[in-house]
Amino acid sequence: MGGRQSSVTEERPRSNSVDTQVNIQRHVERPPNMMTAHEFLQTMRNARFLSSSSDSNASEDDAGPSHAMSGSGRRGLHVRPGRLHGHHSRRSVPVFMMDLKCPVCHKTVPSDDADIHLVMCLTRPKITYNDDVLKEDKGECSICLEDLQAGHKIARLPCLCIYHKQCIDDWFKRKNCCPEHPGDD
Amino acid sequence: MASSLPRRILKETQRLAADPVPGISANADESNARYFHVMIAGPEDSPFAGGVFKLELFLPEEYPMAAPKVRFMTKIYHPNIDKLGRICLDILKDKWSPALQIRTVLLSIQALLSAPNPEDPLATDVAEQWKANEAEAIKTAKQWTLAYARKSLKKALLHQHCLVLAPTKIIET
Repeated sequence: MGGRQSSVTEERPRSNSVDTQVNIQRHVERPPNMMTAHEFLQTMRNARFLSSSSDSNASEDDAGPSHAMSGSGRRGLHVRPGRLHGHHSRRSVPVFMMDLKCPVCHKTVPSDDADIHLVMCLTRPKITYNDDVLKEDKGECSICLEDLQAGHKIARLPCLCIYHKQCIDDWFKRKNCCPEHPGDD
Repeated sequence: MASSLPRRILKETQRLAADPVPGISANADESNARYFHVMIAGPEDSPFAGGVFKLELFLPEEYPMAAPKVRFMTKIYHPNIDKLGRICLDILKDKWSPALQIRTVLLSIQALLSAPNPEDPLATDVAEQWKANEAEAIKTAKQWTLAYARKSLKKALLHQHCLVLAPTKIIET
């Protein structure tokens, strides 16, 4: 089991690296250092497996078909509702409390909370915005620090914040939240 | 060769110079505009008072979409800062937002000095000590400040760093 645990992290393909090994995984392009949700869940299970020898779930579902992930990280998930409960009793085991990076929001979460966190992340409504062209100058875009001037293409967010459309598009590629109102997650 | 410097970085650099934060100095390196030499004066209400802490701050290529990389160069006894000077601070990791700036990051680090959080430790041994015997931990932090952060203070004064010090007794050395 120790072997499998380490293989999960090693399997992550690194784009732009000179390939010394033949990479047999047929992944869809995705940013480096980003786990698919499947890998995330697997790492999670393995971590839990290490922290509690009685966890029989750890070896299930290994060959899930969910490697094909699009950039949004929203497809190919197999989260069984039954897995969402009953992990809190292991909080008392301080050994191997691994922090894992959520593939959706990039937040670092303790492995104990990973299941529930991932479900919350995937069910959270996506922030969208309205395009607009400014009719008058509106101060400074807090992403690029340039002025928001009449004629600029802007995005109006639900929280009433405005940014250059290009600026917020760049940010939403990384995280879907308002830079000024990130909210709690 | 580095790509051209985004205007945002230029603007931030200019604003930091024109309107410095009290108790903090940040100067861009002469040969690398993405690398900043930072000094933070220990807040008066903390065991780090009287010390000046040297940090390095680097703006990665993705900045401002990715957080700056910041590290303490001066040794410090703090539950959220480890031996290598790495800082455990949410806005430097998953809570980063492009609406934050060098200025706000440094202010947050200054605030972290005033409010150590042993519940979310990076230096576990320090955090344990902090939880087990806070008075003792604060004493150690003061000793470390005297031992390691005074040197940077003298250096700062020698090199005429434009450190706008917080009021009161830092000058007494």
